[in-house]
Amino acid sequence: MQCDLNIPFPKDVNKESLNKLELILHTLIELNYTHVAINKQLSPKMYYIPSKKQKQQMSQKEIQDLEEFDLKSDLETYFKQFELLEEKFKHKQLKLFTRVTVEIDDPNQLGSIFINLNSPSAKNRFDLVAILPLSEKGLSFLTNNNGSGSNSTNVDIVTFDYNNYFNGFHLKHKTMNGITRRGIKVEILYSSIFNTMNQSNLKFINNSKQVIRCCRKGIKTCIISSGASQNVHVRGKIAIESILDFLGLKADVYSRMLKENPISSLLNGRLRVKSYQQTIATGFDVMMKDSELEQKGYEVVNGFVVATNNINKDTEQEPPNKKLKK
Amino acid sequence: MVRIKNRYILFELLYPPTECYNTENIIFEHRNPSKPKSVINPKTILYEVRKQIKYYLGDQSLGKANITLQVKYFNNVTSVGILKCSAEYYKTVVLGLSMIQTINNDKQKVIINVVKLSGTINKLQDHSIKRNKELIKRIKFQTRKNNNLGYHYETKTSSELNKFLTEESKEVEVIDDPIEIE
Repeated sequence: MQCDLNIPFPKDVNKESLNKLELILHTLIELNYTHVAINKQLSPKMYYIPSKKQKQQMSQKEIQDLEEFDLKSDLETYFKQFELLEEKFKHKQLKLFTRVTVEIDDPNQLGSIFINLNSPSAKNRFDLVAILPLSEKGLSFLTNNNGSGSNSTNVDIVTFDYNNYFNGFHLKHKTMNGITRRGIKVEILYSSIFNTMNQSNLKFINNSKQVIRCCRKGIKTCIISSGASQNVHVRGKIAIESILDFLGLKADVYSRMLKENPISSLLNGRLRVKSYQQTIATGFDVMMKDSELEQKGYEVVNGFVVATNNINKDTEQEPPNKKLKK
Repeated sequence: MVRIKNRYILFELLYPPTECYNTENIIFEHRNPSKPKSVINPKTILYEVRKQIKYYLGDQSLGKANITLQVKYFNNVTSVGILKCSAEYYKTVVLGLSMIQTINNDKQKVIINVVKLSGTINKLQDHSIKRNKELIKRIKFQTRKNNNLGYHYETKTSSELNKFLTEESKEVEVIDDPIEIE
């Protein structure tokens, strides 16, 4: 199995942009992907409700744009399109998941986002919740225990903008360890290495090196996904491994980044939605029949297909006893 | 007497379509067989690999990886090929392959999908033949789903691809690479 947990949903919903999304999913099938999450990104302009004082400082155009935009209807269109996509890819090997990423500039502005995400139309419908900090304040939101920080228990993934340098903040061991100790995974998006505009391939190498450094080489913390807005920027498993090798990682590390870490984050997010206190899960989320899976060496854990290490012991040969020479 | 160690790479060219509203023949669209041989052939592929290695890793690693680099087999119709390189520096060659976006400054963009790495060419032949059989099965399954008739009904494109794939697996079976000894 192969995961790609970040395929961006288009900002302007047209016939063309939706067709582009479909084509990305089709190329992912050709590259043997199985689990894909479609990402809805929310910028601060989308959810921010300014106070009276702040409104006086803003121009009339900005106020108009804020009033015209409706988050609820925007989320509804996302869910509608997602259900249509699910029907189209029903008979194929691909399994689709929902995901939302919230860009955070100032944690004080976050009040309305939780009202919207916990409203009856959107509650428990996002399988994964991610956060994209735009400043150091946004990152510290995850480490705080008080007040709004208590909502950070619902977060699965932290991502960064790899197309630009991290302006104004420097990643530290202490903050990142505090985040990852809660089981939150840190995401690396590889698609910007193919984008030669504005030197974004250089910026990607710089930024990803920083992230890997402060996550202790990312053995148990990092996941890798594409974040591709075109179907040309998607690559297969061996190609991604070679890119990570190019960044200076070892084979045991990047094999975990590709397989085990994304599965665990998906499980975590899925259990939050589908289970009672993460103990009892319901639903039919299996692609093949159980008898077929066992023959191929797979196992079903909470609706996920996971490879088993148990090979038949009869066929396995025992190693010969070593005799020590004097 | 020491055998020179090589690594063989089975790769596949995909031509991801930029606009395609009719997704019935999507498997066929990804393996576009209408490309002329003047644009994509073993020479242009090798030139592009060397260019990418030089861009990302510099002259030194190009010189190392270039020792026994050659394309053993390439089929322009099904766009599947086998590449041979030295066992020490195969990782640089794979990086060069995966970084390619266009070949010969062509308008159509390209993904090179590295399917399998192996130490002997026999294993690659077996794998590619097995893969072709699976692909033919997939094409048949898809056409059945699209028709909603419940039985296999071959369209023009799917029957063409079937023919090409069976021809290719015959060609791959014959490839031979003699062992070199120092």
